[in-house]
Amino acid sequence: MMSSDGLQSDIEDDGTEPTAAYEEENVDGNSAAQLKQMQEGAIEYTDRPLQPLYYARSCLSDLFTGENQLRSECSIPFGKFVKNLKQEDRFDDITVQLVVYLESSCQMGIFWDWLFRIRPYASADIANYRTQWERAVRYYKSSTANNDKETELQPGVVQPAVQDPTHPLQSGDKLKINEWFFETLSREEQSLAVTVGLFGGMKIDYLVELSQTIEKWLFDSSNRA
Amino acid sequence: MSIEINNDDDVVIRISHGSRDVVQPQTLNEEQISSSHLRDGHKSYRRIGIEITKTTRNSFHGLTEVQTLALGNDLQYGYILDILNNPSIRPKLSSLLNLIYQLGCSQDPEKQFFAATTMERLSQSQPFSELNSKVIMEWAKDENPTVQKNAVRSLLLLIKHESCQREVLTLLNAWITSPNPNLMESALKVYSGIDQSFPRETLQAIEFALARKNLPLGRVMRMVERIYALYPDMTIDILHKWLVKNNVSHLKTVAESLLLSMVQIDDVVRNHHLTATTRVPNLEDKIIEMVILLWDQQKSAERILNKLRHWVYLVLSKPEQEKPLYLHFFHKLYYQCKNASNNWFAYYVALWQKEYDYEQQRQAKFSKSKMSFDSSPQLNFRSVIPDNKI
Repeated sequence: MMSSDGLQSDIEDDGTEPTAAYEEENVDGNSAAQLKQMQEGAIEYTDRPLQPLYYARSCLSDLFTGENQLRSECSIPFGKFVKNLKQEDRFDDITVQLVVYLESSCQMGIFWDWLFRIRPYASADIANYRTQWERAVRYYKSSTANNDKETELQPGVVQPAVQDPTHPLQSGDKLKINEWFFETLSREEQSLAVTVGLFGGMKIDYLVELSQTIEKWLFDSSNRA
Repeated sequence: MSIEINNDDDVVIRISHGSRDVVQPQTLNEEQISSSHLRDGHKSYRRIGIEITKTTRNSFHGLTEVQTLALGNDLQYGYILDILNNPSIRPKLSSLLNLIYQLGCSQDPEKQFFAATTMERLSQSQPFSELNSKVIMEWAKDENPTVQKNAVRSLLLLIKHESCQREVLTLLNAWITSPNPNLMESALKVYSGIDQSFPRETLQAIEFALARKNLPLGRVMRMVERIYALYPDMTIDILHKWLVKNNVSHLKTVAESLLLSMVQIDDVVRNHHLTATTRVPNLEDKIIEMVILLWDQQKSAERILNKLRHWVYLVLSKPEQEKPLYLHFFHKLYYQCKNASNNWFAYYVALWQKEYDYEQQRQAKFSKSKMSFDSSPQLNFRSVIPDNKI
């Protein structure tokens, strides 16, 4: 899922209360109170900008006839992004990924300038979308309220291990793998293999520590359910 | 862990309980060698088929590189985990699941994270129901939000696999209406993570849940807004269903607020440009139906009127060649209102025109006295009424 700040926050930059300040509520109590307020029309939603993604999507859907055109035209300025797209990605998927990519690589300005350049006849519309996008991003930027999508430990991609082509795991033959695992490997090796199979990608120290626990689990007969 | 060069030029990494220490080379006897394959570092790793590789972590110090052990590819992870189904190991699986559950309850984010990702790996060889009942559900029920997060994280990973999608969505449907607030909270968090990839399912779950219990409305609305950002037509279609075809007051109120806050006049026109397969049928009529419904309710009449006025202003400010499609919407609204006893839309359009003319005159007077020249074009509100029938 996308995870850029601009798309996810909820309180105005200038410190003023947002018009539709639906802050975090308790599960039952406050939502009932809020419901009442909403029914009475005390909470106005009209002036609040929509999610930034809405303006980006609207702009792209106005300017491009479909996903193929978007893909091909994007490939010139954002080739790296287009390379990582999947064949089955549709227009909406490409829009989300493009916006996340542009935000994370700080290329939103380049993106708008590029749109002005390739669609000069629609410059008024693009300028309008850009203004609305920027307003929405400013509005949602400094929020703490939207904690539905939390920041979390983000490990990078683990580089694949280079393997001996004659290794039994390379064969894919389950019988051969079972024989290799139970008859060739020592207890420690079996445990480490299972540990890496389960938790591969974890820091090496943790894996070694865990492999001892796994060894106990594998070879302690009292563990049977 | 230490590195040493042996006679045969092999780099040997020694690992002893995760701590790093320099071990002096020594001659080992046969028995020692066979019982300590692991301590022979790379040689042992090669026998298992694993390698020391690098990965990164986002830490306090920024992006840092860490060492890890990895197998060659995803298939090989699958082969190793298939071994867990061997009759000699299978009966012990529940205690392994318990171990993973405990790992997810630890304070260390690294352990928590990998406990959750292990669920994804195990789902390829173990039934989802078992993983759910022994681990995921237990995490979700936990009072501690960091433990709860493991359930959310693992479900978000599991839903990416087609084999688990239906089961995860069914589970979430049950959780969101669960009397246990922790389960409901977890379900909401997962739905917030998948709202743009499973928009219809998320909206259905919200509808289902709102009809039965109070949900935190703010979060529900944010979810709908995120879906609307990507699928405006589908969202308007669902809001129409909530507002017009439902008697649940929660749903009606949420739909009303969202309609007033989100729906834009541009959505009507954009739907005309879509191909027949992606277009929501009668979207224009649905918006008109909702507008009239809100006008009929005393509490929302003023707000919908403000919105309509804003839309009329926007349309009249657009270039002439873009206007027809927008005007078509207002003309339809006019004819819908014409069927009623008095045409309130025509009345208000006339009123807005009067107000506008008055404001223009006032400004003209003001600009005369200031010797300035106002070049803004004159807006003709009557054009939103067919044949200017005011």
